[in-house]
Amino acid sequence: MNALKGLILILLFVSSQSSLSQLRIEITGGAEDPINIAVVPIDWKLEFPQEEYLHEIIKKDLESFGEFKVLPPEGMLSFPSTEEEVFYRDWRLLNVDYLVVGNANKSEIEGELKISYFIFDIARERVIHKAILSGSIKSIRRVAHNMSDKIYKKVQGIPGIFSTRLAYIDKPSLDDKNYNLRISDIDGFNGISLFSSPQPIMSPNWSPLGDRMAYVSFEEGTSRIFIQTISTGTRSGIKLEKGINSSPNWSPKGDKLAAVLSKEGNPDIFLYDLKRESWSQITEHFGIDTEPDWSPNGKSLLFTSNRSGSPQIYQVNVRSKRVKRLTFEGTYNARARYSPDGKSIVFVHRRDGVFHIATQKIKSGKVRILTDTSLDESPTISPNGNVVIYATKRKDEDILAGITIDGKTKFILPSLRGEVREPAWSPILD
Amino acid sequence: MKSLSLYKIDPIPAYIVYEKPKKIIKNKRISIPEEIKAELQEKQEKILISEPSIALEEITSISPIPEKNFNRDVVNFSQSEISRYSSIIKQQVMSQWKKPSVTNSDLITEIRITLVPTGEIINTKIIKGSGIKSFDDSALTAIARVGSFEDLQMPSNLFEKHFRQFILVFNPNK
Repeated sequence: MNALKGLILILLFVSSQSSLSQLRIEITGGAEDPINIAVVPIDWKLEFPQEEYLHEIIKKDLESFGEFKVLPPEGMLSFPSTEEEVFYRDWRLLNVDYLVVGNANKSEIEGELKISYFIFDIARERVIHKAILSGSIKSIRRVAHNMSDKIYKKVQGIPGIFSTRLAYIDKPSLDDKNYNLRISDIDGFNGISLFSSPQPIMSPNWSPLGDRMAYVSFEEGTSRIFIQTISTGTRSGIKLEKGINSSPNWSPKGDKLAAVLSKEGNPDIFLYDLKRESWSQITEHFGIDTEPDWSPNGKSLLFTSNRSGSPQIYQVNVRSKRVKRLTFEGTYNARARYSPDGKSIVFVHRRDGVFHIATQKIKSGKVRILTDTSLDESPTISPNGNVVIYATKRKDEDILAGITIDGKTKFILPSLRGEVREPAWSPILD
Repeated sequence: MKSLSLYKIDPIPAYIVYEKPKKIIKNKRISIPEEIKAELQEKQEKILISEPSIALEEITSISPIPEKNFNRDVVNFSQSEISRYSSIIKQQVMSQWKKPSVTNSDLITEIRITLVPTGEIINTKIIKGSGIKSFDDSALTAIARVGSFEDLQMPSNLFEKHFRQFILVFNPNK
C-alpha cells in the first residue's frame, strides 16, 4: 500500500514537474518586409478645398526611410474617418499592419484647423493612439509632418524626424555667385537662405533648441565664428582670436561652443563660454586637433587629430582633459559625430583609398562601413539616431545623400539649387 | 498530496526547479529510481535555438537518450521532437515579426503563450517586458498575426507537456 502511494506521488510529481519547467523558444530575428500601413484620406470638413493632401504628405514621410509601405487609397475597400467606421477584417484582407484614419475640422481659433485621428493595430484589433492635433491651415505640411512623427513614434518606439530641418551650405553657381547658408525641411521643402556671402561659409551647427545657428564665415577676410538667430536673422561674430577660428559645436546645455583655434600656433580644441565671452583651452598638442563634437551628456568631446601620424578620432574629457584614442582601424578616420545615445560614433573612414561613412560602437571599437560610395564626407545623424545624411559626389556634383543606420535604405536628397555641402541635422523641434 | 494547478504557476528558472524536487523527496522519504532521476535531468534542459540550421546541429549533438521501457506518458519526450516543433513555432513567429526601429539594444520581451491542440493561440501574457512599449507591442502583434500555428499536429501527451503553454523570448540581439 505504501509502495503504491509512493508511486502515485512520483507520478504526480513527474507530471506537475513538466509544467513548471516551461519550454522557452527564442525569437531572434524578424521579417525583413516593411511595415504595411494604410493612411485613409483625411475626411476634410472645412469649407474650402485642401491644397495638399495630408495623407499624401504622410505617405511620402513614412516611406522615406524604407521602414513603411503605405497603401494608396486606390487599394482600399472603405474610407473610414472615425473609430466606429473601422472594420478590422477589411484591413486584414489587405494585409495591413496599422491603419490611420482621421477628420479635419475648423478650430475655434481663426486660421487654424483641428485634426482628430486614430492609429489602429489591425492584428490585435485595437486603437493604439488617438489624438487631436491643431495647426495653422497655412502650414498644412507641418501638420502632416507632425502626424507622421506621432505615427512613427507609436509604431517604431523612437521619435519621428519628419518635422526636423536640415542646414547646409551651397556653393556659388551660375545663377548665384554667393555662398548660401540654407535651411529646409528634411524633405527639401520650405527652403530659406539664412545668410549669403561671396566669401566661403562653413560648418553650420544648430543650437540644442534649434533656434540659433553657429557657423564660420570668411566675410572679414579671415575665418570667424558667427551666431545667428533663425527667427529674426540677427547675427553677430563671437570674440575673434588670432589665426584659425573654426568648427563651432554647441554644448548640449547651449551655454558653450567647442571650436578650433590656432592662436598658440597649431590648431587645438577650445571652449567658448557664451555668457562670459571668453575662451579656454581643452587640448594642447603639437599635432592638429580639429572638428570637435559634444557628447550628449556634455562630459566629453570627440575630435580628429593627427597626433599619431595619421588622422584618428579621439575623445577628451572636458573636465579632466584626459585624451583617449577611439579609432584604430585604417589610416584615415575623421569628422566624427556622436549618436544621440552617446554609445556610437559616425565618421569618415578611408578604406582602400576610398572615403566612406562608417559607424563604430565606442566600446567594441569595431568599424562598420555604411556607404558604398566614395568621397563621402560630413556625416550628420538624425536626432533619433536612425539616419545619417552626408555629402557626397555624383557626376562631379556635390550632393547630399542619406542612409539608415542599419545600412538597409539609401536615398538622395533632391538638391534645391547649386551644389550643396556640409549638412547639419537640426534637433527635434517643437 | 494536492494536485497542483498546472497552468497557474509562473515559470521558475530551471536551476531552481532542479533543487526543489530533491528536498521534497528527502522529506517524504521516497526513493526515486535512478532512471527517472536521469530522465528528470534530461527534462530540465532549456531549448534555446538561435537559428533553425544550428538547431539541427544541436539536435544531432545531443547524446542519445537511453531507451526506457516504462510508460511513455510518464517520461519526457526526446529533445529532437521538442526542437522540431519549437523551430516550427519559431519560424512562424519570425515571419510575422516586424521589429521596430528602437535603436537602444538589449531589449528582451518574454511572452507566455497558451495554445489549444489545433494550434490556435488562446492566450498571451507578457511575463517580462522590455520596458519599451512599442517593442512589446511588436511582439504581441506578431503573435496576433500568427493567430493559429500551422503544422503542429503532435501526440497529445507531447502537446500537454510542452506546447499547451510555453514562453516565447523575443531577443533580437542574439
